[in-house]
Amino acid sequence: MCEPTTISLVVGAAMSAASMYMQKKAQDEVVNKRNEVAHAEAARETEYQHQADAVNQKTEPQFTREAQDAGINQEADKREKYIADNMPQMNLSGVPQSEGAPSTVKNDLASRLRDALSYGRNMATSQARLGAYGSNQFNNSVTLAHTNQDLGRITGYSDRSSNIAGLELGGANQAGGDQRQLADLFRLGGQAGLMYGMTGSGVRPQQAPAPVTDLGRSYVGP
Amino acid sequence: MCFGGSPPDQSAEIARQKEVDRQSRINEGTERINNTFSKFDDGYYSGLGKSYLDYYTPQLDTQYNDTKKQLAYKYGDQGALDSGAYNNDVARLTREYGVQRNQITDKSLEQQQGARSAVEQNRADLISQLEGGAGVESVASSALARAEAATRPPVYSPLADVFSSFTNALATSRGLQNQGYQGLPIGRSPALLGSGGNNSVKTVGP
Repeated sequence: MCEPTTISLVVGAAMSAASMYMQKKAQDEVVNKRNEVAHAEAARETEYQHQADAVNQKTEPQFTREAQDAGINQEADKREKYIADNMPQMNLSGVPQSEGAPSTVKNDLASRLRDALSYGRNMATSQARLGAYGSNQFNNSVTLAHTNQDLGRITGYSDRSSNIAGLELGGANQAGGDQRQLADLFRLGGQAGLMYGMTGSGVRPQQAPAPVTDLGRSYVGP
Repeated sequence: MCFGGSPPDQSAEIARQKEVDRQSRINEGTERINNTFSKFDDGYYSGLGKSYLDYYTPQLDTQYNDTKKQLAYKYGDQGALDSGAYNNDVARLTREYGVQRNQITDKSLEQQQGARSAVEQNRADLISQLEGGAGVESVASSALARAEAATRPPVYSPLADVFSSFTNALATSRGLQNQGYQGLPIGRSPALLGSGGNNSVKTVGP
């Protein structure tokens, strides 16, 4: 029972078991580390997603049909008011006339001036309505430029983070290095112990003499 | 373990830290750029539009009043100040004046949009520089310089002669009269009697 070969067998088996245990621990550590990296990256990506959603949520309402119509109308009103505020208020007093001009002539001039001014006002209104589309488009382009810039920045953050997560996963694969080294040592020790225990000396046993049969023929076999 | 082992691979940690620093730099720089450009608000652009109007409107008014006076002198000389032709020319001139006022007002709005567009372009450029790796301080300085350049008063060209169709016709008429030809009252000159010829509108502004 206490022969060296038996002890060697037991120790070898124990070391092999320890090796397997350490291997398992090392693998677990790698898995845990990879999970940790993946969870951290997922949390970061979720945060980027939220940031991007916030940007879109700020932008999208401006691009509904109703909002666009309202935007155009608002711009048209603004422009109309702006142009109207800057349109001249004119009357006959600014126009030289002969003192003795008949009232028909004066009335004619007044009427023509009114027409001229209403022409200007109508044109201003048309111009304001037309310009409102351009103004609304301009506002849209400014908003979209901001949105694109914000989304581009967030996308950049996300891409770079993913790339670094790749590196981190590579690093996680190296986790449990100490356990792996120990496992290797135990494995080697276990193999040596088992080999010694099975062979007695760790070398090949001496070959037994060949049995001699009655027929005087030798038989070599297992 | 037994042989001291290799140094730990910290490349991922270094890269992560660099990225955190980078994001922090971009966020800080963007905030500083936005702060610098925050003065370009609606009030600023309205002021710009007003300065455009303030520059061109008096010039247009002067041209209008001068042309109106010239018309009055011309018709007065001929004793035709109470004629339908005079009324017609004054009305046409006034209509033209209204058109030009519209143009100036419209252009002042264009100026506002142009300025806003330039500011946005500057802002976007600076943020791109930041994302491309430029430092916060250098980008912040550039932002200040660009913002200052953007606030410099624009250089406007004087208003062209927008009533040239009237003034040229008056000059032609005066020249003909000086040569003894009396039969072409201004109101009946082809340039002034037409149904508002296409050449009568001149674009104002630079």
